[in-house]
Amino acid sequence: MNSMTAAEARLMLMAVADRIIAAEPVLTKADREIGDGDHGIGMTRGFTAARELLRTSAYDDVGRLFAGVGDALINIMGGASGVVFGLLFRAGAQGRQAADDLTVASAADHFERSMNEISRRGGAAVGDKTMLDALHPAVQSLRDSVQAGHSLPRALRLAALAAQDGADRGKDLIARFGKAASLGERSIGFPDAGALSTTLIFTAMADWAESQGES
Amino acid sequence: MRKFINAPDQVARETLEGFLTVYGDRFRQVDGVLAVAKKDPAVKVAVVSGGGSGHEPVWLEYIGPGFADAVCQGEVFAAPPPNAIALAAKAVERGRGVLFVYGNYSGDRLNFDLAAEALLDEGVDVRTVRVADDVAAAPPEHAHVRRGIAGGFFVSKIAGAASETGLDLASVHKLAAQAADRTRSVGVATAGGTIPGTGQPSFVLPDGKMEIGIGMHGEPGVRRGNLGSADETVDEMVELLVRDRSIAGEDVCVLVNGLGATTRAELLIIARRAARAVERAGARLHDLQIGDFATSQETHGFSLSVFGLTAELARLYDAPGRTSFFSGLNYHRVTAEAHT
Repeated sequence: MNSMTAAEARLMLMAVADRIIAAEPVLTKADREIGDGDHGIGMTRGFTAARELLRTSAYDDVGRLFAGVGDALINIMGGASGVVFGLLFRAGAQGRQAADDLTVASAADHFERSMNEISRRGGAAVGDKTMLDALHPAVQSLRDSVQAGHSLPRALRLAALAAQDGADRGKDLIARFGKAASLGERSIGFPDAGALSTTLIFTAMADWAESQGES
Repeated sequence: MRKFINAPDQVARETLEGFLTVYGDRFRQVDGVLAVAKKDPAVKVAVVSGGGSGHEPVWLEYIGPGFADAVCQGEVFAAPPPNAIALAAKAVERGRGVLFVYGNYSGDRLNFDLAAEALLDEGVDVRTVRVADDVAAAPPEHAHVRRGIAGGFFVSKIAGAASETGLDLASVHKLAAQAADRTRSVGVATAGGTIPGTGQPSFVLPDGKMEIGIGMHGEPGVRRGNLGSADETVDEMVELLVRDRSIAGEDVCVLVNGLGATTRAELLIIARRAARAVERAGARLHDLQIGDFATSQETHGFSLSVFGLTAELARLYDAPGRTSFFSGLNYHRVTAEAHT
């Protein structure tokens, strides 16, 4: 599989929503350690709305599909997470050609644009113990996969593993953003809940793409 | 968790519905979102505030004559989404522009900024004042990252009063920003409140301890120690405030704010000392307010806010203004004679 139609990507994003909703207890527990403890609840609220949107809508345009999910997250979730995870889907869709399929190159472009916009608006950088610690290596991995000519399932798997690795390394960082930042060194040893969510999103995309078989 | 609620995920919505049940003669819900607007907004700069719920009366009840024209409310401790903010603004915008007034938290900044951009795209002029009064949140050189706590009352009062005088957006913005610049606050708590959704207290302290500088979401403070007397604690907090911004020679307004589970008697005892402490710091007391103006669930503790007036800000502060929790009628000007 080297590309995905909007109809296929829609099913993939439904799988992403299911994965996030199922992970609510894990995300809640992680956020309780160094945040308000509401990350899992907020993500579940947003992805439940996104899933309902996907279930009742048809798409022939990958950009509109991703932007639709992003808008749903931004306007239902609230909080910093609503904007950040909404932009993950929405910001990259801006400037995309209509009716393009999802390819490794377009996925890399999408998530890089999203990453830059999240960083610009939020003011956080890689190493601040935010979701960017997972997103940045995932984007880098997608870029590498474009060069290496990997298939879309392979590229998504490598990106998911890179995100996981980045989220794990983030445990040793001092938080410089959000409520966790006020804990300073007390945030060391705990993962950032947003980095966990980012990893889950890429992992769910990779799982779905692989389940379609390499062809 | 000891709370009379129905379901954790309905707390924000039902709080707003309760507010409208009591005060709905003057206000209405903005269609489809957790926001409240004046039924009959005047032709003037529209003042719009909002933030996470769970801090009532902030921001839900900061609506009224001489205060905000519309307010929006996120889930507990989470910023409201941009579409709710933009719809709230459009419900009261009368062609003179919109001033956003809200607490300086990353979630609020992200969501209000997106709302401001959406409004600008539609030709609505928007300016923003972020309340960042908590001196315990960051040192003076990083004052722009400080959190917004109860001092938002003074900023809201001045923004509302300035807009009522018919000033243009740039002038209302300037005065509200000046009020924010001249306000400092600090909190103290002995026990944290519980977020309904998670059932967890926002912070835990051993019995007999207090933490000075703790934030409205349980953010760590600057000093944890044994629970002090009211007088000692007030003196230490006023010292933190005036070290950050001198009030010598100024007329000041002081707010003694309960964080949710502090008794009226405690607030009166605290206010008694706070009045003396600011005068010892060289200020003249223009007004002293006590009550629950910005809470954090059932947190036991209080915050002190000091607002240094100019002649112009004093006129605006003394102008009529009324909310569900502030009548303006209990407004009490402490005259120089009363203290001699």
